[in-house]
Order: sequence, then C-alpha cells, then structure tokens
Amino acid sequence: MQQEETTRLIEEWTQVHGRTRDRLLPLLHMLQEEIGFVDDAAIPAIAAALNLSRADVHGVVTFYHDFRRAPAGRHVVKLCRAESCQARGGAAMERAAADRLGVAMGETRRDGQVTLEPVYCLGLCAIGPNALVDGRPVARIDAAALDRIAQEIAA
Amino acid sequence: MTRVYISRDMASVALGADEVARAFEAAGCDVVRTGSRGLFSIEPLVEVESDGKRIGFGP
Repeated sequence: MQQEETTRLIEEWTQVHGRTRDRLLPLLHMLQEEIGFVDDAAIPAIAAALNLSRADVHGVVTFYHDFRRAPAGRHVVKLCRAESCQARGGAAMERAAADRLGVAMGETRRDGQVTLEPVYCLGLCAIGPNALVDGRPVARIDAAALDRIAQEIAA
Repeated sequence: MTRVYISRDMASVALGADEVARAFEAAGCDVVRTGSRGLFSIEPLVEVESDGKRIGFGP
C-alpha cells in the first residue's frame, strides 16, 4: 500500500521535474514531505526512476541526517548539543529533557507522541541552550521552558 | 496609530518576538517586523516610534 503510494509519488514527481541525477535531493525532500520519512524499501524505485545505482541513493539518504529513515513522532524536539549550548548548560538540559519528555535522546516515545533528537548548532549561540520544537526556535531552555514544551506536546 | 518595530530574526523569534508582535497587533498598533540589532541579551526588543525617534524597550 505504502509502496504503491511511493511509486505513484515518484512517477508523478519525475514527470514534472525530470529524471536527471541532480533531481535526487529534491526528490528525497518531496518524499520526506509527503510520507514523513524515506523508506529503505523506496530506494530501488528512486534509483530506477533517476537511473542511479541503489548504492548512490543509499549513500545520499544516509549522509544527510535530516532525512529520516523511520517515521518520527507527532512532535519533534531537536535539542542543540554543540559547544556553545553545552557551555551554557546544554548537557544538563539534555538529561532534563529526556526525563521530562519521557524519551531518550535520538528516540521516539513509545506512544508516538514525541521524538527527541540532537541538532548541531542553530546559530543562536548567545542565547543557548537552544531547541527547535516542531521547527519553531526556542532559546534559553531551562526547566520552565521544558515544562512548556512538555505541555505543548501533550496537547 | 502607534508604530512599533519588532525584530523577526530567528534569535528574536526564539525569545518570543512573535508572541509580543501578536500582542501589539491585538492592541491595535502598527507593527513593523524588522531585522534585529544583534543585541540578543535584550530581545525581544520593541522600538516604539515617538516624535520621529524610536524608543527601545526590552525585557
């Protein structure tokens, strides 16, 4: 079912945007946008559509960490783990976030409500520790901010 | 109508500039979203236009 949907999306998209190898990244973005992740099972279809090897496609998908290879939770919290945020207490906030949200770093909570992920620098170093909550930037993460995020996610 | 300038760069937004801008809009102000002055320690910074000058207010 999912597989048919993927094949249909690839077919329609390549008819509009072409089948040259430089279409690989935009095609992957489209699939992630439409389906939420890039399924390993879709790699042969992508390779065939753009006349690439499966290894080429696999290499690109796994190189860019922003391409998901499994579905994310309904909400995604990305917490910065880069140097400036660590210098401003980020490591403690990372532990607190895992505790408060009930999910380990890099994982999706069992109820599928939230995924907690690391990110390496949002460029807001002066006001860290920083996070992205469903794509929205949140600075100066502290216990109160984590409470607000947890409430938002529970809703 | 009172005109206020509120930054919309990512750091300001991360510190609540969008919520502040919505509150000023709800209060009937003419809100102009700008770039920031880079003074992130006093964001969200609101500049209120008065007599051709801008008076800044921070948190």
